Amino acid sequence: MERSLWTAATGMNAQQFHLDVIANNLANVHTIGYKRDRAEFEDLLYATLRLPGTPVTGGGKIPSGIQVGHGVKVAGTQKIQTPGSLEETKNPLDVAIEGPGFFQVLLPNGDTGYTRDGVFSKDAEGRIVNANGYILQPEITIPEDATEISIMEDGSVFAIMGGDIKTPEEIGKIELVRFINPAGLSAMGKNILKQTGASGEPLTGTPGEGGFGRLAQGFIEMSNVNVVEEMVNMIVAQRAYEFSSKAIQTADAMLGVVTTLKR
Amino acid sequence: MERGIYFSAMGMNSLWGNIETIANNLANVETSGYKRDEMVFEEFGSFKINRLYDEIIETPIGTSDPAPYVGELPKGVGIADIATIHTQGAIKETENPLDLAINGDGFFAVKTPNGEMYTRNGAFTLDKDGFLATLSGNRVLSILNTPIQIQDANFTVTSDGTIMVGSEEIAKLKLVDFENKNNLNKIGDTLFKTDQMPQNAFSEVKQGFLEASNCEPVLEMVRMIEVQRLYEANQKVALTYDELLSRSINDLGRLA
Repeated sequence: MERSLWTAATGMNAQQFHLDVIANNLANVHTIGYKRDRAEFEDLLYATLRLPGTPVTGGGKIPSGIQVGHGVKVAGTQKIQTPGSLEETKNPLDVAIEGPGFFQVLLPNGDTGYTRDGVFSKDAEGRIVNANGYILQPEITIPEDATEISIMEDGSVFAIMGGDIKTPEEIGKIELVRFINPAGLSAMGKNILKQTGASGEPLTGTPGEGGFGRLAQGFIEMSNVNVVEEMVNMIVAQRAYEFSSKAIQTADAMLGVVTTLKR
Repeated sequence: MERGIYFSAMGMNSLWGNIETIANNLANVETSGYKRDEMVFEEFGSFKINRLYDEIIETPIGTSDPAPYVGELPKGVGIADIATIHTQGAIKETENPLDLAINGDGFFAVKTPNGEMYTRNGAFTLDKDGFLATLSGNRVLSILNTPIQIQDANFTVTSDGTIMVGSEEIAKLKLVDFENKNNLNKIGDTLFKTDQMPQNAFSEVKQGFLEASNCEPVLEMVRMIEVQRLYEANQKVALTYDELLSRSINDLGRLA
């Protein structure tokens, strides 16, 4: 009896969730390396009141069925992995990836996290760490007397020592990883993504080779959130929310009619 | 008992079914590849009314009723059908290479635990082994009825559904269509199932686009107003019958 009330409620829930996703995208419009999320919906199970193709007396078959839906559900959120725009910072330890790939950092619990946020700095021991202090993997230590750091497109890191003879010395190599299904990575917050059963195993490689993006020193990758698009989505979500609420109001009014049937 | 009071109840029941369909369409206004449902009502047949209490003449071959024919009395209303309207939804750009839309007739074929099913929701993803799959995890089938493995994220889908990595052709999407779309059963997860034999479809596939729901909110809102008012009208019929019955019980039967 009250199926339509619940059906419309799933519609409102779904749009509420849609708005949550949009709000998070808009909040991260200036987050370095952020990839926008998109909510996708699917219809729920159907109650079949009459199956199409049921034989009827006389040898015919019912040409079409009677099925009533139960509303909508969130099918998933997908991270849209389009590149964000690059912004020049001239900071030698800011590194952007031009193309697919993630940096690896060591999380405090010993796991490996993946990120496209390439804002790095040095810790007290000279190791390259990200903004949260997670150490870049494989570990690269910058010598104390280095005056200049240069990071090549292929990930080689050179340090120029402070002596009289300025010869660049290779002190390490930044490696990237990629996944068969990057949309399957789970976001941990702090711009860190983690491997899941859906993402597949990480594939390690050299920047600029085998489908990996090149590195760009002195640049950061901005968020790929498109504000105009999110605003339009917000209007759509709000209106869709209102449509479902109108369906609830109508069903409620009809139930009101029923209660006045008996005087 | 008066027939009309049951007819009005039948009317109210059928209209309630209609509001359920409308609520489901409105809940799926943002579901990619959703096709809206429309309810069709039918009259429950009718019977002939002859004038009552005329004399019945018996003859050797049977009886004959000379009472004049008055007209037909319908037996109320029921739900004939909930038809799925398979019109094209709007095609919107998403920039995601894994989003595919069909421009024209046809469905993508996917492999599910319950056999082959069909969908127009092209919001695909890659699963952990690199197979093209729906967001519910059902793998998309190629024209050879095999799942499609894509190892490289830089792939293109041409308008005839061929998946290319660079200049190498990996697979071709299985696009099918059906003679009688009314026979497609909605399963949920924007999937359709049928026991009909699929035919090949040759519609355009657009990469980086999604087909929006073909639900038309304005139409549904108008229909919702209509349904609510018809529901009230049916209730008024029931109330009128109640009034009539009340009169016949309390007034007609009153002893002076």
